Amino acid sequence: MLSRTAGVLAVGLFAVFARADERYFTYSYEPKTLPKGAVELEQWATMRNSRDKGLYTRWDLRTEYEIGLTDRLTTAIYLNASNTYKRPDAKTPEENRTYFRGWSSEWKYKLLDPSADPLGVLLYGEITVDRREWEVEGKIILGKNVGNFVFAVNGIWEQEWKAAFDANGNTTTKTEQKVEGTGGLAYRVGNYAVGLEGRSHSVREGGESSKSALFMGPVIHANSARWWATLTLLRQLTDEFSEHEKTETRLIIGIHL
Amino acid sequence: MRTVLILFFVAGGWLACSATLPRVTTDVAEREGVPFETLVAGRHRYIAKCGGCHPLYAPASRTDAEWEHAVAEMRELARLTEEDFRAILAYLQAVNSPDHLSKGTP
Repeated sequence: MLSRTAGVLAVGLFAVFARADERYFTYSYEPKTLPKGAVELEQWATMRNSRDKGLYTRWDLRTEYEIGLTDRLTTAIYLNASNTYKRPDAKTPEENRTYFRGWSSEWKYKLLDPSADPLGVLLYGEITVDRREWEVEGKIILGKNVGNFVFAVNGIWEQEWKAAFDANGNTTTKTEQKVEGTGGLAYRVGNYAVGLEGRSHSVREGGESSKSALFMGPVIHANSARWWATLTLLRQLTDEFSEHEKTETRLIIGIHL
Repeated sequence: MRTVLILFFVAGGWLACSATLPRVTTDVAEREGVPFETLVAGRHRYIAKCGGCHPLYAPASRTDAEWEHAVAEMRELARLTEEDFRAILAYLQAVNSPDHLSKGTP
């Protein structure tokens, strides 16, 4: 427990000393990659609140170190940690768990630029490895910058494998598929931007039917030459609270190194 | 909800159909007294070196002197070589005249 807490704190504190590419949205990527040799550090914090029963809060922390390999190809490594607090009802003891959630390797390749070409296009791949979990994620990222407007749409597919142990110590593997669509539109004013961001998320475990939710909310952004910060507040517009929370808040701080 | 989504994608479609970064022509190169190849390289490097971190500013949004100051300020952060710096600046200063603005820039 102590080592897990220390892990989460280390990930969180790293952000204080860290510095990272301007993102105008926190759930949607824009079709851009770092120039060759440029390095950035990003700290993510996502808070998810309220499910169908009692109290529920989950924090996800991610620290990203990103480097431009060529002007079109970037790679990044993430360290992931979470904290979950649950108390379904007054009779049930609370559960408060902090845990390290493995590391991720991200690869981005820009095909078309959002400012120079009619439509920006980027391909994205990510692998996450934990002790008992594997995840593979693919995205197609579209976007366009015109004047002070920034627009982005992402199509996301994710496959997850989880190792589970039964009472006899036998191992079984559970699979989960997630399909997600995100989008955002922002307007820049000087070093600030305001906009709207949305997210549609479906999850299906094994042979079960999928559970889907739609989120929408405002996004605000601020930047300087060396750093930027973007905050999104999402509220669920559907009523699926078994796998999805009522609200999600995500802050990303990026620093150019 | 449906209306919001429709508006969202219409806005995206409109943005996607909008103008792009101005291209250079031999006429522009001749007028500016800069080799055509330098301006082409400058446009390419402006996209690659600057567009990776932030939306590209329209060339017509700044004067020659303002561009010189802005590109010099970003030189270290964007890891620009002397050649990158010269080519990007030459491109931006060549296409920042109002006639390029009227043709539409991002």
